[in-house]
Amino acid sequence: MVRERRRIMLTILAIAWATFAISTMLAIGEGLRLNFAKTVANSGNNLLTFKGGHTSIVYLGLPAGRKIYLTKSDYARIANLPNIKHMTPVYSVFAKMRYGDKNLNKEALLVNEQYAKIHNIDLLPGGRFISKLDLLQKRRVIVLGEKTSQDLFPNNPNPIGLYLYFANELYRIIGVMQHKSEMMGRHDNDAMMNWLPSSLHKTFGGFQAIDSIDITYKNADRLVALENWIGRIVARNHGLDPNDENIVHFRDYAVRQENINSFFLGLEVFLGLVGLLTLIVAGVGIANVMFATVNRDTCEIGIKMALGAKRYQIIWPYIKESSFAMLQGGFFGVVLSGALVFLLGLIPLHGKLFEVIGRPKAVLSFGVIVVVILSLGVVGMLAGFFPALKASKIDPARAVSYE
Amino acid sequence: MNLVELKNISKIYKTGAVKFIALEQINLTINKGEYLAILGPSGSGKSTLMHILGCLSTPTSGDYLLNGKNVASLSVNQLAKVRNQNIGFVFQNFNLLANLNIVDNVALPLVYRGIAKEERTKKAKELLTHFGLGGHFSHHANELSGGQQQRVAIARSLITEPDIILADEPTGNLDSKSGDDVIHMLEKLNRDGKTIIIVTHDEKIAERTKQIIRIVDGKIM
Ligand SMILES: Nc1ncnc2c1ncn2[C@@H]1O[C@H](COP(=O)(O)OP(=O)(O)OP(=O)(O)O)[C@@H](O)[C@H]1O
Ligand SMILES: [Mg+2]
Repeated sequence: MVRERRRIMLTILAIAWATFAISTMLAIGEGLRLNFAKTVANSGNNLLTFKGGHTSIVYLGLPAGRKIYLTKSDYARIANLPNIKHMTPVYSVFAKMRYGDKNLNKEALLVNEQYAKIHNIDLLPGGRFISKLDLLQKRRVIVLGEKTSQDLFPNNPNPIGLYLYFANELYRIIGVMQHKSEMMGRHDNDAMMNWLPSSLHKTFGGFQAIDSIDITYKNADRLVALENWIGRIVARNHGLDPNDENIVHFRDYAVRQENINSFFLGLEVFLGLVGLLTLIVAGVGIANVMFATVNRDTCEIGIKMALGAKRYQIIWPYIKESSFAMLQGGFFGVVLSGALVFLLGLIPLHGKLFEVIGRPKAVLSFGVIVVVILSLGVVGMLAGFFPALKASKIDPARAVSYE
Repeated sequence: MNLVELKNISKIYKTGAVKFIALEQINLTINKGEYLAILGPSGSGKSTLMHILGCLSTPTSGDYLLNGKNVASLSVNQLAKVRNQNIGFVFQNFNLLANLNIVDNVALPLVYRGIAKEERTKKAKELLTHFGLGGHFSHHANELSGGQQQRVAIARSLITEPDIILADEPTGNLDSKSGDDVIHMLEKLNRDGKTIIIVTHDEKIAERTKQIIRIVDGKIM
């Protein structure tokens, strides 16, 4: 009896360990996935950006290989398409930026007020993004990226209201971007960027093509249709072959987002399977203890059968015992895992890597717990079921004659 | 109607390729209120016959009518029900459950009938008191003498008020005094109307019953 108890205790310990392993692994996997999902979303959700491409088909006597520049008229026509939620033209300008004795080469994007929504740009307190009025009145205002702000104002974390020179014109700083982690920002990294009202683009002179158009769409299912429409509109507008697929270059973030998401889902499933394997090993342990118990109980089972116990009345105690062992072990395992997840959350994650990928946090989510409980339940049932089945197959006539 | 009617019952054990005929063409009728001994040497097939009578195993061929109902080919659960309702067993080695006290042991058959705990405990205590074990309710089997244990077993066999009591060498593990007591108890039960079948290889015990069935090499003589 004492040895029996000890064996059960050991199996419960094994289950606790397995549960701990499975739920911690899943929690870490889940944490990574959610973190990256957020990072990707920071780079723009349902984001589609496109630039002018080049012709690749000879059309109406014109040769292939001509470069296409997106125009204001393209922009206006595309803006009428359904399924577009937000939309901004993007002009890119490089120029000297000067404040005090600092004089740096910086890039600025000329965009409209919707850019912040499209790219999930949040500003430090007191700041704002470019507004419709800024655009209308062609105000000389600028929103600084995190990096520029640090470069120009190393001692002032929020230089709102100050004036700086960009391309020798005076601009008032109306906002500074808040830190965000992102992996696939439009131009390398939003933190490096600065923003001006797009209506100012003529003041920078030169060639006035739109560098790119950034949109967010409402319905991801109709993304392909949307891209087709955009291609055809630009082709018609420029007198080009509407079947030429290279006229517009699309950069479609949804696809990459899906790839990344399924990669991490795969990772999570893999981690879960490793945990499940541990759990199965523990389940085999329980089953062995149960088989030993059934063998020891053969005579007793025979007696119960002789007295009229039905099959389920023989089976049930074993299922109950193994499930109970599973439950106990599972409970300790989940509690332990919860504690570890909590402790992990307390570790501060510093360093360049975490700037880029964000700070992943293990998440013992409802879904994870449901998966763990389901696996425990199934493994526990099976671990009890096979020994119990053996018990129910005992021949009572032989069992009662045991000495 | 006969209580028990065996028609051409055979039991063949197969061990690998080897067949062993334990019972061959057994025909037997037993009436209600009978007190019968199945007598034979060791290995003759007495226990095998008793297991079939008690629905612990099914015959390889033949029919077994119990209360007119053929039970030769019932399912496992149906057999369990028949055992619970119609049969009481008394074994040579008592076969009490070690981890239950004697009240729970006696009450166990009623558990499988779904009788409430209070009711079955009350009934078990009444029976145990009747058999002179009133002071031992909380005891476990290993705390009792062999004779006392067999009395507990008899109490257990009676709690479901079965049609037949099957006793396989009930005195085999007892000293002669306790063995006598057990035989007296069975005789008394028979006088009160119970059908009793004793399996034994002991001529003296068999002679005290009303009818002897002699069995040798799986056949009735
Ligand atoms: N499950 C089984 N498998 C194979 N052979 C068996 C089985 N049970 C019993 N036998 C054989 O059947 C024969 C009859 O056995 P049984 O137990 O009925 O004899 P018995 O008359 O009760 O003997 P005993 O007086 O020793 O109890 C024996 O030879 C035994 O070896
Ligand atoms: Mg025998």
